[in-house]
Amino acid sequence: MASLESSIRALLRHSDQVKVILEASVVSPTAGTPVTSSDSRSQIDEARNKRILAVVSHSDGPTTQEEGSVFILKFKSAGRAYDQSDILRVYPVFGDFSITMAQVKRDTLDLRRGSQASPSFLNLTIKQGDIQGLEPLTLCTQQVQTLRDVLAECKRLKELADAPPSSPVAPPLTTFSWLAPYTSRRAPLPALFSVPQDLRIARKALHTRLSSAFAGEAGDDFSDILRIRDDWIRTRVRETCVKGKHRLKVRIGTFNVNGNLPSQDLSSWVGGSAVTRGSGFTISPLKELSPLSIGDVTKDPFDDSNAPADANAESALGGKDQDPVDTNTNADTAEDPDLLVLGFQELDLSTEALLYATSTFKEEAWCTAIFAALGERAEGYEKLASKQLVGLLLVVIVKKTLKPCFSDIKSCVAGTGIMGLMGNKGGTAIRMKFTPPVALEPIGNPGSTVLTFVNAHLAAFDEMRLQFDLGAAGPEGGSAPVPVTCNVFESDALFWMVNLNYRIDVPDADVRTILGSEEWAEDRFTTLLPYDQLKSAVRANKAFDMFDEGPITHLPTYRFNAGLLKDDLGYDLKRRPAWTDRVLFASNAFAPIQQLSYAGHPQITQSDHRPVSAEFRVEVDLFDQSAAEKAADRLYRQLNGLEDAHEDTNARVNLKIMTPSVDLGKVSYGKTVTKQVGVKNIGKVPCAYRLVPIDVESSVHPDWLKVEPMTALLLPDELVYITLTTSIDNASAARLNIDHTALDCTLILHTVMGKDHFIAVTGEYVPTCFANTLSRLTRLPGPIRALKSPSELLAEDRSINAPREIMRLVNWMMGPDLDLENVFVSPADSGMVDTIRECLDTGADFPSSFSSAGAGANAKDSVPIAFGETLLRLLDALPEPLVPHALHARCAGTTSRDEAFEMLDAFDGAGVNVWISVTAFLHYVCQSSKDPEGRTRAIARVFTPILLRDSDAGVSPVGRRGFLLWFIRDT
Amino acid sequence: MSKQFQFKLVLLGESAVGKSSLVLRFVKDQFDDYRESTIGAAFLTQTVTLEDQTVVKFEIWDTAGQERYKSLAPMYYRNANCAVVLYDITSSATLEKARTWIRELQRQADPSIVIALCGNKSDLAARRQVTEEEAKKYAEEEGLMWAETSAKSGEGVSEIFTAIAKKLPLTAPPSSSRAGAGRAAGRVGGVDLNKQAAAQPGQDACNC
Repeated sequence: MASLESSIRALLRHSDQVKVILEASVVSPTAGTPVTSSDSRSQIDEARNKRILAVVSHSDGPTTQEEGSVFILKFKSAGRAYDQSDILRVYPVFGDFSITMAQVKRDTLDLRRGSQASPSFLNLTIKQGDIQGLEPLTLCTQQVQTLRDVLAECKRLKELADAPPSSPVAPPLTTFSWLAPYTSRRAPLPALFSVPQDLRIARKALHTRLSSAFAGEAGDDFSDILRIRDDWIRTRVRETCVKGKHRLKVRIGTFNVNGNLPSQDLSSWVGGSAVTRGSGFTISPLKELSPLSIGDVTKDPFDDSNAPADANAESALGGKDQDPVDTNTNADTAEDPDLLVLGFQELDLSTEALLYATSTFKEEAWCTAIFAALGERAEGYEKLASKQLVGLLLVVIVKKTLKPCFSDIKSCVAGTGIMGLMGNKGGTAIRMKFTPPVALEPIGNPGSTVLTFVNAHLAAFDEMRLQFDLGAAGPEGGSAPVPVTCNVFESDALFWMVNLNYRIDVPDADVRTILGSEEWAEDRFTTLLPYDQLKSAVRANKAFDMFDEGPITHLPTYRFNAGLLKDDLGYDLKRRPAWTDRVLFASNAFAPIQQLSYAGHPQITQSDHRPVSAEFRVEVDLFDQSAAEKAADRLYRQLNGLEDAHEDTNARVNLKIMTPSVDLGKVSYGKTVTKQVGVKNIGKVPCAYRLVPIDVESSVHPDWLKVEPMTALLLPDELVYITLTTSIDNASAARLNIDHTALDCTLILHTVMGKDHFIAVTGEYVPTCFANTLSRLTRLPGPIRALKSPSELLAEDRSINAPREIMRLVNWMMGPDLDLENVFVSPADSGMVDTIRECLDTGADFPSSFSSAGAGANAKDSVPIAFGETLLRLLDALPEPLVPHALHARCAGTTSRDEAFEMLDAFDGAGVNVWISVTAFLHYVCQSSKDPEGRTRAIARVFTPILLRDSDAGVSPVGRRGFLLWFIRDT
Repeated sequence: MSKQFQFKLVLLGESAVGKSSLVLRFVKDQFDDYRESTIGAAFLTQTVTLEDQTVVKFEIWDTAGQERYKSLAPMYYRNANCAVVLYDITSSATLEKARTWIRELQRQADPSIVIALCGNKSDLAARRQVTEEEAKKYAEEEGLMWAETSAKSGEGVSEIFTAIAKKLPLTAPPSSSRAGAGRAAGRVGGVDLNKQAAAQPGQDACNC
């Protein structure tokens, strides 16, 4: 028995344990009922009918739930080496799993019945109805006591599987993925494909999802190898099977209606290709709008209100014009959205509505208004699904021609209001599968993409508390190994329409000034958005950090007041305006999303919020599901041996580092050096590597070096290249300027389940005047490159008045006959900037071609622009901004020119000199301009974030800019 | 019922004294005339069964000997229960290097660490530069175990590991559980050992 157990253990991975082992034999399936006793006895004698039933349990650690499974094994020759055995079937213990016991019926008279000398035969039947194709199995055994143990253990594991998750935090989906290696030799577990990976996981780089490991501490290699393998298969399957892309155009709208019924024309918000009207600051949703589009011609002749909108759209989308040809849709309506998804909040504010929804009256009213807004295009659409939770309503409208492409539509609600039940806050979600219409591609069984839409009304930071359970959303045919209850994140593409109580962390008066005044017209949004609490929460990884959001180029959508208590823009005087209505999105690599527009609709004034719309293009993979499953099966088999390697695998997993030491050569600021390190699998089995840090506190590689890929899986003989790229940014340059030797490092490449390899990296750092403190620059005896050692500085009392590098730039630009009209605003030639920086570092003269005499008319402009850009970058690279952080609040509070000049007493010596030189020069540039006021504004806009960089939220942006303006604006 | 213990063992010594070869001989009973220099650290396991049927499982870290990687060695010898410091009997410089390693271990490693000084390449006795007496005397002064081995012929190899196994404290579960915790091996030792002790003998023999 012990040898049997240990031989089974040898088949298992270390995370899996044998609980009970039972020897049994198969009962002839043709008999339908148990066979006669004489037959069964004779069969038991035959080794070929002998089976081993093993109850195996798996746990990834104390925090994860134990999962169990019944294995049916066959030993080719009992008692021989374990590699002679074969896992025939695997029955995961969950859901519709059952194991039943019955006494063998005997057709013939058995005289020994009841006699103690004769062990009685028992039949046991194992079923797992949740897995398609896994047929029930009946075995026959004499080991009554062991069978009891089997039943008890299965009961325990079943109870574990059925128990509701104890953790209030979203538990990781039970996937039974640990079974994959055991079944992969026969058929892949389709779990990898039936449910998209949780986006919260999928959007994290693979190497960040592996176990904690460092030199000498390998981490949990067994779970790492599974993660690496799953990722590899997912990626490879799509790479090999994707035949093309289908573009799906999705228009999303979100609207907090404040309890009102529709009373206005919603066409600007709802209407796909309808251009927003009547506002100078919303963006046109479609840059690539064709004048041939029927929708346009009939609904929206380009009136004058479009002109400014178009200009904005260009900046918002970076002028990215995509190839508009979409072979999948009819050219006439190519620009109309395929899906129209609209989320409403505060549909019903009545008291009884907080307890339960009484009717669908409001939903019907809004749907009617939506279709009315679509105008004549309404005929082409119909409602696909909707979901309401008291005041929250989510409506999905689809193009009629595409309706058959959507299936498996599930919806759910989640309340976060009082007791988690009340519908005043919470979310509604709709999930659906989209199977692209097969056009020309030879795809017999097209694979689908899961789209999920969430409409949520939340208090700040409520994202974490919102738990959605989308019910059994398994694939068609129920071939999932587990009855999958999906959370909304298990999607290929996920959109959130969200109404949040996030505000802008800028004083009320400043917000209104920035939004309303001419002075801020060009950068009001870029100024305010860094203070938006949602953006801050995302940056701090507190909420919604996995989501993307398009650039906001519309006014805050809350809170408007129809009465008298409003400012010039119509905002309620008692509430600080805020972007409370947002559309966020996230997707995995298989369904990339491109945002086409993001706009507010201020002409719809019936609520205290303004509706927001956003359009997206989702590029859905076109692939054949059966081909993908076959490919997955093939890939699993290719990886055979990957995960059942044992500890002593150094002889089996064997990577060779082609270049174990890498010399980067000269490494300088602003330039990249790229080297490649070949890694080859010279072993006979697939194997994976990951880079690990030297110890738990360290990072895997220094911040100035990028390493890619950090982890990879290699088939035998496969060669991959790890790319090392230096990138010396301001932070690393600040350190390296003081300690040049710090470029040497050793990367540790851990072979998963094998040895650690070292990759020695060396390089020679070339110092730069960028990213040094002002006090260090003023103590340099000469050009920084002339230093023999980083500590060769002038005594503190002998330091010069101001850094010569800054003064050289300012003096050059003060030279005669220069056109400074576009300096600091037009983009600079980066090669020229590099040359200028190099001259500052080495002390060399600026090239003679830069002088005004030697330059043509064009160059005459571009050279000063490059000098201006160099000055900006040099100031921006200072480790501490020119105005020290500690003084920002006081500077922002200055109320007169005299007060501002008095502030300079608080600056240190070099700081004052640089401030006065730079601002005097800027004053000169502004005053010598053809448009002094416009130039002053533009320069203040550019310089404030550099000279008073990294201000905390408490410091007013208006005050900071005001401080600079005291110095550069003419009295 | 046999007991199984698990210990972390680290190999240190000058480049090319035969650390990887010694491990290869011990773990697989093989020898390569030409081996590439180790640039990194390899993890291997091997078990030794003592007369009283106690099974000692060594988790062996074979480290790079080159000076370039010396700064990484502490990462591999931390939490080690035992160390084998190797020198080459045909090169007195390697004994000097071994002394440096031993000083470092005495200063920085776990104070209870068992250290064995090992003179390798005993098959090349004709070119001997380090006498047995010299090395033995040094080992006695420092309280180290000492032996000469030949990874090539196999002479003395299993003996030194067995001797180390006997010298390790086989009374309480070893402190190496932390060192090996990340490894699946650690899990076997930590959890399964008592529960399924009956199943253990024989299994580990298959692992090599």
